[in-house]
Amino acid sequence: MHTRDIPLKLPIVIGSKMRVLNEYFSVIWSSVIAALLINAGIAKMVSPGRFRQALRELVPGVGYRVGVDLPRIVAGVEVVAAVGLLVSVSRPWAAVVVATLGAGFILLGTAGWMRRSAAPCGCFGLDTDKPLGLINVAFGIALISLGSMGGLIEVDEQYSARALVLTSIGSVALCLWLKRRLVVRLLIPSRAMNRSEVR
Amino acid sequence: MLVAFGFVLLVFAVAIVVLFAMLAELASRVPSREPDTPWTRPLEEARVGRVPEAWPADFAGKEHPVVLVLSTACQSCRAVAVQLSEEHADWADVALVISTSSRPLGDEFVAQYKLGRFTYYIDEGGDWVSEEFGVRTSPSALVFRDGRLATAHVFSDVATLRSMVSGEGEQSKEKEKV
Repeated sequence: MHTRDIPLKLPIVIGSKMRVLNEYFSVIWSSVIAALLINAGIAKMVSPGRFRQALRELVPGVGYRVGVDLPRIVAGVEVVAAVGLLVSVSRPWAAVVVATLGAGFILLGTAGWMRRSAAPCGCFGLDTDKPLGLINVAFGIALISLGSMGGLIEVDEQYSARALVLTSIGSVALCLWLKRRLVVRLLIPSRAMNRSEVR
Repeated sequence: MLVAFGFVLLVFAVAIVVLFAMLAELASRVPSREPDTPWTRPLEEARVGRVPEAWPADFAGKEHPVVLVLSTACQSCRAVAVQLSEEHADWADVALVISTSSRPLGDEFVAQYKLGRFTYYIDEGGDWVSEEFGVRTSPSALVFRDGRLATAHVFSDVATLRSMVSGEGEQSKEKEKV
């Protein structure tokens, strides 16, 4: 009796653990990608100039025709895809949009890297002078692989609530990290002032 | 219920991210605390990559590698004009566009700051630079390569601009070699 029970129960235990792991994996990765897309999208929406300048530099002949509309459309797609990824019903199509965005970032990053782009792209809302390059390629690959994978894994009814809460916390944490210099300037103005005087 | 709570939380989070993005944008527009520090920054409004339809007759109808746009109404353009005539009279590649409301004002500006030794064009109403390149900011520098507007900058100091432009030229040559 016992020898029969063990092989029957074991796969069920492993299967349930795998399912739980899949669910956690799916929630965490969807939230990480959504938080990154929300920060990147909002940064492009508020300050489209840098991304526009980077795009203009990539296509010297006709690049000057790129206005602020294109970066804002990309930003809108990023934010909508991020929210879509968090709702269980819209996950499959959101995953397709995320993968498409990933392919676009790979193309832009590769083009920027090959052309030795110098114009800061303001990617992810960073205020550094980093141009389009290999970081965008890596981000694109992550979006394609993890976004698609996250979209394909089945999720339970608690997924949306968990993902929304985790993304909210993640978005704010990522925003504070990306804007840490600004936060320091806002919180400790005298210290920031002293630093600039020393320079 | 939990999903609704999650959405409310996400709206708050997005609002915080928007707030910080706007603060960062505003902070980037605040000039440096040290007014004497020379600076240059890209001129975002410029139509980089454009080939001008025509060069002004005052430029003998030909391309110049660097065109500085100075306005008779701008205070920092006066400082730039002084630097040009006193310290950079040897800069052969440069041509000037004097953006002004009327030609006599432009001529007076050129005479006052001794800019007559440079090739210059009096651009009444700033029409040529704004129509050809979308430039409405001064002092600005337009850098041309192979007949196209390659880069455009707003600047405060001629020496800083000059070294940056020569650095860009070298980078461009390296790219062509690659």
